[in-house]
Amino acid sequence: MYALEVKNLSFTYKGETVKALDNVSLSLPYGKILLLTGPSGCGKTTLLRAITGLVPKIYEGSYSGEVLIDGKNVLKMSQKDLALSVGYVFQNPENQLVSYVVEREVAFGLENLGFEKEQIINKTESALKELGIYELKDRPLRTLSDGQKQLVAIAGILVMDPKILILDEPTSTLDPATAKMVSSKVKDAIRKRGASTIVVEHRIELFSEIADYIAVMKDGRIVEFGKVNEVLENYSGSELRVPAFIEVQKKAYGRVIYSRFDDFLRGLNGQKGGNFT
Amino acid sequence: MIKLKDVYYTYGTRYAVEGVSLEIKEGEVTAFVGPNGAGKTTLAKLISGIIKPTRGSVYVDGIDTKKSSHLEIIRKVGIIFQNPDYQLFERTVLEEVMFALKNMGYDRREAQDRAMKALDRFGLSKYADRPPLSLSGGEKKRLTFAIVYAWDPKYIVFDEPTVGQDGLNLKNLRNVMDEMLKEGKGVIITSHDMEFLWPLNPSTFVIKEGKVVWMGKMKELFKEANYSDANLIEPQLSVISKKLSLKEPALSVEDAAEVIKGVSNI
Repeated sequence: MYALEVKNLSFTYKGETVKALDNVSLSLPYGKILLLTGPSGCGKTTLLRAITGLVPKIYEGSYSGEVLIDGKNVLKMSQKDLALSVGYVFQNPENQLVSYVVEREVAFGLENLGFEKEQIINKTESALKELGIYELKDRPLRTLSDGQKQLVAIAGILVMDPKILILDEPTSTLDPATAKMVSSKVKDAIRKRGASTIVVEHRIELFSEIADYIAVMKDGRIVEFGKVNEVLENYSGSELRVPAFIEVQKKAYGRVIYSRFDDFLRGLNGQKGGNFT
Repeated sequence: MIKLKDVYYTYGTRYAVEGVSLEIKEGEVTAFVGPNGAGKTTLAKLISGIIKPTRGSVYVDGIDTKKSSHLEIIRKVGIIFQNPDYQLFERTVLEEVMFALKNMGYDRREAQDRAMKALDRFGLSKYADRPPLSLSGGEKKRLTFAIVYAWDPKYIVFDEPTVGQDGLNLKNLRNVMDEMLKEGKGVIITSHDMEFLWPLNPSTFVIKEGKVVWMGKMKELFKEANYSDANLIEPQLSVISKKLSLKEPALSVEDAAEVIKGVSNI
């Protein structure tokens, strides 16, 4: 059994003629991390909507195939089961934050689902610590920076221990240095929890080093799927923004030996270029 | 040349730009880099005459933006905003491109000729009769290029042009910029996307809290220590060049690969 299984999923929005999803199949084993990418309009958002059941419950249209989380069809789950199964982090934390103070915000989901007080306190504390924001717990949300707000939003989802964690371009509204800080804290937390995760990201270098798999979508289909370095090595399309160090390896070695930038730099140890002309 | 002389700009009581003096030349790439909210977009608007300085002066080819109409400046400096949806409002793609041309005094026929040529240039003439907002994200972005290209300004300002763009759109963007440079135009980019800017090696102004804190060619920027407080991330090619102890950093993937091939034993 998989954390997530998408089987032959096709979907066309009501009133449209072009398929937004065209026979998509995908399996994510427990504890693995999938990086989902592709050009704008390729169907990523529709796929996420299908995983959360919004397609076809809210966004209507013709639907075939099925989405299983932990072996259960999402369309047959109760709203509460679905809320416990899928944790969704939006691009912009402002769309997600509802409370006044950090600690209350992170506890909000658990309180709504009727967890006991002691459990709420323990779970909230550990989520805040995992993301390195425990010292912010008493701060009003409005006093936080954009990066801190996104970490609070992520803590509020992690605390629910979802079966599938979805991060939808979690750093796209942040400037690059803040994005790097947030992504590195999130990566640590995901690793520690062993959460089954889907990350949607254009800037693949932010998450490629921890992703077990990468899926590239185009025109409603998954056109590439596999281990990150294998996919990037063979990739010849132009939709992806392939990190410079991957391109350098392809040109210098004819293949991708290192999928992490740090490892690549270590591999260069002892190599000196001397004068560059 | 565009010259800023001790320029200040305030939103209410807050200084968005504070005492900035700089020069921008045609025929080359100029970049404003720095964290969100540093004042990059305010500078872009000052340069294109959309807003006028609270204090100090902006001169475009010798014309003081305070003493001239917005139209006079925009003829010389076209600006392309980050989000195309803010810029598009006409009924059809063709009319969208013609709108600014008509405002600039071109008669209908000439405006239409120029608009069609610009649409053709960006592969959009087949959509001439479609509503602009029905285009895809990448097509809308190309439409905003066509709109500005149509009146052939001497300087073009790209405000955060790479945000949310996939690899294909970025390649197109780079081609458009290269062509504009070949034509001798000034290309001005506000961005914090160092990976995109690096191969262009632009004349760079690092902006922080409304002030210029560093200026020089981008390949020099990461040789010095003062970039980290401006929230910039060193491009991978710069890091690789340092690791290889290159005297001059590699500006392209090909250059870096050549060096590695020459010394590599893998």
